[in-house]
Amino acid sequence: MNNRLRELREREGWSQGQLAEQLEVSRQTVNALETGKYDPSLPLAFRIARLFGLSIEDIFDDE
Amino acid sequence: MNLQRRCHWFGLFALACGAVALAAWLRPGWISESLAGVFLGMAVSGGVIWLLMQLMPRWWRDMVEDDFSSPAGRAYRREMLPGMALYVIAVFGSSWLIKRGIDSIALRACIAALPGLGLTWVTVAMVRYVRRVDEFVRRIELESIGIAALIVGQAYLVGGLLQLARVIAVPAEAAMIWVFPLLCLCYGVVKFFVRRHYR
Repeated sequence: MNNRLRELREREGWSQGQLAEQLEVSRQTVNALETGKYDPSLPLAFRIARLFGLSIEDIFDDE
Repeated sequence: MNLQRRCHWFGLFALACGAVALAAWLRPGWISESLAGVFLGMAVSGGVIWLLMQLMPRWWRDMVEDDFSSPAGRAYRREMLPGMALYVIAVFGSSWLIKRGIDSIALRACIAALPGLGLTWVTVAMVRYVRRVDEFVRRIELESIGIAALIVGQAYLVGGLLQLARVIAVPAEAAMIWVFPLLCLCYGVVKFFVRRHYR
């Protein structure tokens, strides 16, 4: 699944560690999400979407 | 104190243990043989851990550092260390008591199984750690332990078949005692590859 997480994080000027802290996950989790190696659970996807004020579909793309 | 710094202290401790073991070998009778063996074991295992820490790739060290400094990692160490201490004390205590000779089989069984209490404590700490970490880290942990369990289980099955065919002759007590340490060792190796897969 593709996602815009890196782009959104960089737009906010956050490091992976800072984003991880806000999402209450580890830095390696943010890294795995950004590289598309790991697809988040629904609760985590909602947390990410709320943090950036977007919908899940705006961030994650399954095509 | 970060992981690298702790690792260096750990290396120094291993060196000191090695020096005690060497002194015991040069001057027999200074300390008991079994105690010298304990120091030698700590020196070798500590040295191997220190060496592995120096040789591990940067990405792996960063991940270990992340785990080490995370709240879940700190809580795990806080909960696990008393269990490990209990295990070590129980191993030495129970083997010392059994060597003195205990006639009652029930009492001997209870004393011999005492280290299991420490291991149960450690197991509870492990389960609590897996429940505390985030979903991605939990996936890595569960995949690693699952694959490690399959490898060790299959190795023991093949070992049992070889033993049945009288190709090998491993004493049963040694085979049983090595299940858990082998599982832990295999888990560590497998975790390296699982993490690399998700990097």
